[in-house]
Amino acid sequence: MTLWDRIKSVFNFILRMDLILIFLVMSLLSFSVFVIYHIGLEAGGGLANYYIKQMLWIGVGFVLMVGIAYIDYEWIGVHSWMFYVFGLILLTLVLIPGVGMEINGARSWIKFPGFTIQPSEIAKPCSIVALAWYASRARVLLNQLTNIIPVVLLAAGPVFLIGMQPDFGSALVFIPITATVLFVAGCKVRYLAYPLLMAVILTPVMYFILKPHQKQRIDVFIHPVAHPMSVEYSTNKATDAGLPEDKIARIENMSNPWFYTKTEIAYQKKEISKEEYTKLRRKYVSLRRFIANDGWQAYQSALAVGSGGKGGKGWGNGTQIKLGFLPRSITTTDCIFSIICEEGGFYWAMVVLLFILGVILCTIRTACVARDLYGKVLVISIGMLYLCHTYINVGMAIGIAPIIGIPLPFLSYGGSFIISTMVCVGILQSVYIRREVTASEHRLKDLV
Amino acid sequence: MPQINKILNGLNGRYIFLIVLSFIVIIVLSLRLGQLQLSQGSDYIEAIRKQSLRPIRIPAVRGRIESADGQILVDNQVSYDLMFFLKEFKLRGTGGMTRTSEYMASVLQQLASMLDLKSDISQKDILNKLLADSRERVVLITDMTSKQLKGFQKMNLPPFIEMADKDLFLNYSKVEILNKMNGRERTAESICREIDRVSSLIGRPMEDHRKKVLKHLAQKPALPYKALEDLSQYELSIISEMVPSLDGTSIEPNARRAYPYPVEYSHLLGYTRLKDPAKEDEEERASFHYYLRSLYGVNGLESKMEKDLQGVAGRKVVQVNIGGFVQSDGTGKHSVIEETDLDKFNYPAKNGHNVILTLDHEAQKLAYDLLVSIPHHTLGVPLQEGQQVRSAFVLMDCETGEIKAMVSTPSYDLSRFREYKYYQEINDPETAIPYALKQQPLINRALSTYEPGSIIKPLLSLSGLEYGNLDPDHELECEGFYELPTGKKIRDASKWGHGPISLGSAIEQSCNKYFITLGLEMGVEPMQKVYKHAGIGRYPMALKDGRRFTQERSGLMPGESKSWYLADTAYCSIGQGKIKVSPLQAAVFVAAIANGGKVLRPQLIKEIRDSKNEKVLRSSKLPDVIDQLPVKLENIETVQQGMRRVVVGENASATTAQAKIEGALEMAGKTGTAEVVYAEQNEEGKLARDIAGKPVFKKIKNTWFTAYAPYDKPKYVAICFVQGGIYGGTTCAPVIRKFFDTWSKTRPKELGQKKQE
Repeated sequence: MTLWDRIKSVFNFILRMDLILIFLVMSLLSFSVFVIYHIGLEAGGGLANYYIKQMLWIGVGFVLMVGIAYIDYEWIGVHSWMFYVFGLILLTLVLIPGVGMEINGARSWIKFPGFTIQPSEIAKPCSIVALAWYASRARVLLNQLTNIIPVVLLAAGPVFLIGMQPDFGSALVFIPITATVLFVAGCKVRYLAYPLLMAVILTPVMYFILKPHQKQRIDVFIHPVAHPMSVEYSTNKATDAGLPEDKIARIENMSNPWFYTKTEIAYQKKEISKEEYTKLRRKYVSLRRFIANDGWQAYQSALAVGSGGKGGKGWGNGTQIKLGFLPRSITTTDCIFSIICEEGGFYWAMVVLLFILGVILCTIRTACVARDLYGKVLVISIGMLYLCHTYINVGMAIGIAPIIGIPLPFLSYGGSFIISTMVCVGILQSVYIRREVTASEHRLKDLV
Repeated sequence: MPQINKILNGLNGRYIFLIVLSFIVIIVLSLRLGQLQLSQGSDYIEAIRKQSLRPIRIPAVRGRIESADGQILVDNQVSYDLMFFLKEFKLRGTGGMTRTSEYMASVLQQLASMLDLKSDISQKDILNKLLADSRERVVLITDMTSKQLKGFQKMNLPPFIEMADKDLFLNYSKVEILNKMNGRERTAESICREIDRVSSLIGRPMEDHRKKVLKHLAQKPALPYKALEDLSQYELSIISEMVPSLDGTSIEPNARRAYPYPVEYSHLLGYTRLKDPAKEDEEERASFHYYLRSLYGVNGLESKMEKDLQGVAGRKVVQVNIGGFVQSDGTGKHSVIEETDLDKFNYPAKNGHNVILTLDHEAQKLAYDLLVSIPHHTLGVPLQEGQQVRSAFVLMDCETGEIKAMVSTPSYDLSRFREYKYYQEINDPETAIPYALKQQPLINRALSTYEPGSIIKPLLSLSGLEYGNLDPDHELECEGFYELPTGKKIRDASKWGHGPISLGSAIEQSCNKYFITLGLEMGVEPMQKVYKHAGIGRYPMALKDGRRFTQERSGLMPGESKSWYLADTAYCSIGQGKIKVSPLQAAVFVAAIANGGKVLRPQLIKEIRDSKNEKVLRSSKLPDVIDQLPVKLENIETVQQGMRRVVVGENASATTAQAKIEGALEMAGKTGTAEVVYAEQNEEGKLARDIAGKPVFKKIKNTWFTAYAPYDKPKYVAICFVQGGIYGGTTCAPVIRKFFDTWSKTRPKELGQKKQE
């Protein structure tokens, strides 16, 4: 092959890539660097260099993306068990006390000299590849319930290991992905609908199995509105028992109105001693104390978003980071969307959301033109992974999702996360490049 | 396009479902985002302001008080305070090991600096050794010189530095690990260390600031901590040249009350106190996060003119970070308020107005000096060491009602009033001293009421002339006493009696019998008719709406007590018993006699000016005639002649008040001496009893002299009142004579020329 041919083939390769996707991804990534740079300016300290690190990771990710796009995804599928096992090994390693690093009660990081990796992020593409491969092999067999079980078990492996860390949020993401894989692979809808229904019913039961800090997260999600029925019931009971008015007025500020009312009534009737009463009183969670403790992040995020208004406060001009109300360690990851909303305002936030929607639509377009079912399942589950991440991260910022530490695709800072995301983009490109070619294109090939 | 066709071909129901799902998710997020940012945005901006803005109350500068001739009586003086900005000293909490290692490193550094050595043991090395639980013994120096040895023996070395022979060791096994400390405690510690350093340099006594700093850090971290107050110029210069320099501090000017004449005006001006925010209006308090307190007047003019003097407090917001430390003043980058909105949050303090008094500074000072230096031989009760004459002096313009001087002694030092020890000193209960003899410097004697003695006689004469059918020329035989129906004799000043006496000479010689006879003949009602209009039993300076000067007393109107006997009328006729008059009230009725019957409201305030002293905001109505004596002018003239005779008559009772220098003012006046009986007390403060077990009663004399001058064209009324004098003519009259002879406005030409030469 002459040099000219080589250049031509590289050119053809690039032309066959999904250029729209590349445009969207690269815009989001450069925006991410832009935002992280400004956060670094405001927060100072270690965060000041994060944008350089982020650019470095994006560079590495881009190379990986091109490399993976070059590989046939069929090959990846055939060797998917290797990736799957690799992911499981990493997830197991992180659980070993000497290897894994514990931060904020979760052993989620493996430390290397110079950088740390987060196995749960790396395990995501690894598991998706394996899930998609086996689900697409099973195909028609998925109509039987017994054949679904292996796929679910396949997903249960990483979920279990991530749950051991414990990283409830990342583990949760696997559930919709598995459902998507099954859904796209052609599983009967009722097999997916029934568990969903069951989950809705079983949630309260699950609540009691969870650890205290996980319970708190759910509380944070649920609390802001104490159940109106509970408030009404408690208020009626309190009025009957003749509680003083100021105590009745406090009921609606309690996370557990009935517990509060019960204790107060018992104390009023002198059924419990003063010591017991003071002990129980500490368990009350008033709205104010709740915001100061468990609800802090949710409340401050909402403040950041709300105070941004239409046009924002201007880049690098936000107050929530500078004044330290948003915890600095999470400003570049969990709270990055709050910062975009605060400094860029509603318009920039909408631009980000629409770009992400564009990426998701790109994945579905890729699925439509993919040459086989495996490719379709693969790209759509990646798209749903993005959607899931986006919903939870943005929802955290605006108070419609529980606070479970999930990063925002393409925007949040994090080496493992950027690499993982870019690997996924590489897979998308790989599927797109090897799409079903049109008849005219075949003819063109034949001529050449 | 073939592409689109292909995509459409590839679509199936499940894909469409997922597309719809994606759209729904994004739309839900956008709607919620819109709700937060577009419709509820202002609520959140309000909430974010609430959590990071701290409004601070800026107290206004209190107004000045000046005398009529422009002397400043109360001013605001700048004092300098050393403030510590807490943010600059903020430290994080550390564990015990780090703290210990830091402490050890500092000790080593100190040693090294003393020995001119390089300490090659860093804090990190020490920390590592401590963490490894090392028991090492490290040699620091070997072979010290004898000079160094002597120096070390004097030093108070911690146990981990050991000395053996001529060597110095660092022994890790003897290190005591310090307790861990949280950030607040460490910050407080570092601030206290700096304060101690400053105090030792400027030679102030060391105080334990730790608790105060901790409290300050917890309660108002946004405000600087005031470590040292009232720095002198010398101290300021030392602080500004400190090495190493004091970072994170500033020297802030602070206004405080200054009194150029601390004792002369004490009772009039009154003292101030810092306002307790708890007593402030709830709403007012809630609008400030940090309430910097301002002064308020407790009594005297400071209290009466509070509304004019206080001004309006300003507000300043600062933006704080999560720790509560100040981050900015709310402007510039990262501010939660727009530049244009700033005026809504910040407003400057409006300074208080200046109050110009009617007082004449020279007169006031002169009167004070005269009272303090009353000759001791004219006092009936000798003064103990440290005591002052208990007296009062009032000088009033009898045409306008302006008070030119109002003095009360003993006085107190206003500038020292806020010192606790001094306050205790002047409030000393003096248990062993009977009430009638107590010093009580806080009492304003010019406004307190006392039995008037004979000075009431001119008024009684007026009521007699007007309502009692008294013939001024009718003569009465005086034997030197009046015998009441009960047999009790009221003695006269003259032991053997005045002989046949008419009204004029009765006033001149202050004949008790004459006036008791007059009083008993006509009864109490005619007295009351005149007295009521003359202002007895009424607050003299009170306005129509009832506002009055603090410490003002209304006194006692005869006949208004619960029980009233004939003897009471008799005693009232000579100004004793159930009648009480304050020196100011005396000034009012004497002025009414002098000016032909106009009863004036005595006034202290001339005008109110703005804080720059440029614009007159309000001025008093002068004269403010509030009443008229219900007496014919001819009767007043009769009494005036009587009062003139008191000074210049043949048997005048106040010859000491005669003009002895050519050109001196000619006065008319009336003496007064009221006897006050008190029970002697023993050292425990209880009733002293004699051998028979009966209480011991003693008497003191409250002496008065009321005068107006010049006689032919009355202009000034002067009242002098001394507790524990001998006789009005002996004790008080010379004071007024001397006053008119010395005061530049009434000084005789001769004296004035002498002074010029």
